[in-house]
Amino acid sequence: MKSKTIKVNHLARVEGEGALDIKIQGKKLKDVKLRIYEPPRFFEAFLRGRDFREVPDITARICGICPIAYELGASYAMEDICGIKVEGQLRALRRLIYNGEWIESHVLHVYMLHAPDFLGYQDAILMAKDYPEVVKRGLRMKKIGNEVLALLGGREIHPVNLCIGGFYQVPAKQKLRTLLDNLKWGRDAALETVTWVAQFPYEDLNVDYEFVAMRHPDEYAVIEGRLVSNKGMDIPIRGI
Amino acid sequence: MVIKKKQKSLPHKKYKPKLAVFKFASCDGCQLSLLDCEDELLAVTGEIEIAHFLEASRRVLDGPYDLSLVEGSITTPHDAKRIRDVRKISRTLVTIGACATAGGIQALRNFKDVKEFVSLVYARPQYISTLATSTPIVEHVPVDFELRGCPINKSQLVETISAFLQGRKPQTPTSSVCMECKRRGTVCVMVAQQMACMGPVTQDGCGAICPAYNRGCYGCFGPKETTNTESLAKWFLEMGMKKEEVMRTFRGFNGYAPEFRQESERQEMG
Repeated sequence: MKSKTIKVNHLARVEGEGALDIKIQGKKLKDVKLRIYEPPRFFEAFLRGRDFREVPDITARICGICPIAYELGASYAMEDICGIKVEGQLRALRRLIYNGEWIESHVLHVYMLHAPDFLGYQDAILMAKDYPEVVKRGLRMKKIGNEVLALLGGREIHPVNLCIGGFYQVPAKQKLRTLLDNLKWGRDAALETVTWVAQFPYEDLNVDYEFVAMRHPDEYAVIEGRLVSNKGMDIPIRGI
Repeated sequence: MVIKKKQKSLPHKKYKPKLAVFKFASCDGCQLSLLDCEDELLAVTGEIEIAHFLEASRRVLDGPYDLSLVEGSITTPHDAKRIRDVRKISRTLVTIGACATAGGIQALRNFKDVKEFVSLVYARPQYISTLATSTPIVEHVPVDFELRGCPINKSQLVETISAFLQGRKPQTPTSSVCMECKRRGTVCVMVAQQMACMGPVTQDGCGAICPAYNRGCYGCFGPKETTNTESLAKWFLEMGMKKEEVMRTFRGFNGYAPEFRQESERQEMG
């Protein structure tokens, strides 16, 4: 039987670094190896001895694409230790800035990292030659996510305004209002995005996976929830 | 006749300089700054050929590259070799961000024993290949320009790329964060609220955002030129901070930059 090996030494358009080796024999897949070759940075080790208030800014540097995840995760951990709970409007503002990150990071993912594969382009810039309006819509959505991050956090990447207990400074209502028109446009653009993505050709593939996600009884689980799976796993994330 | 046709089919094609982006030990944030230029991105790609930028494209054009942006610090034997290869194929090499310019937050290992770090973090230390230090690019190869920040400021990035296209020096300030606070009209958080602020010794470029958000600067753009870290440390101590706290304040995202490193070591020694 004929065998074939596909080696991708550097995976492109992914958040991070990795390589992929695929072995095929005849028409059967024999082996797949995903190699993550990001160098270790040892956050767990050098955090020892730091003041607890410094931790969110430091853990943010784990990833520049999703720093809020790490800033909030570290803040929750420290708040659990201190026995404080951030609720009400501060919680709502935390949810808002995290949503800004979701918009920015997920639009990046859908439009600039994944869509070119489905539509047969090497990147979003080349895709823009044939789909200028689509790419422009994506860039505008991404920018709106970044505007939420910058307004609440001071800047888009590694925002400086989050701390244990909430924020160093809460934004003025008037400033928050300036986001409204763009966010309303963004909601329509998000619906158009769903319609657009739904037309992508997907392989008819059924694999017996265990899907894991966060779940919250009252809201879309973004900042809090339990870790659940389609096979019955259900564990608390905090306060174990 | 044939010659005439040939001339017609060969219009003058503008040479687009080739841009490459390389990543070493880092968080991806600085190269994301390029994709965060939502308004400028398509215009920039009209002037420049993105020839190697794995986070954005699977199209890889061969070197040499006219401008290479390097993110991240050198932390593995493999990367110490790779940066020399990158230098060979780059006409101009610009480091972007605190990791590439000063070793980054992962340079905190430089003050400790990395072997202990490996065994503490990884269940199977034998799989981990790492150097004892995290070092800036300039310790390995010549660097043409260093763009500061954790992360870099995207306006400064666009300015740097434009400056390169026009063959001039990038106009990025070398003054302190204090200057920008004055320009913004931010009341000094250290004078008025006794907050520890690294502004006086830190290079501007962020826009002095921390004091504007009611907190002290944490030095993410690294030391400004001709800093007086000793004087600021003295102020911190007079405000009631312990030596250990002062040491930690200097030992952050740019803790391995010589000026900050010397001050943190001075505090550590006694």
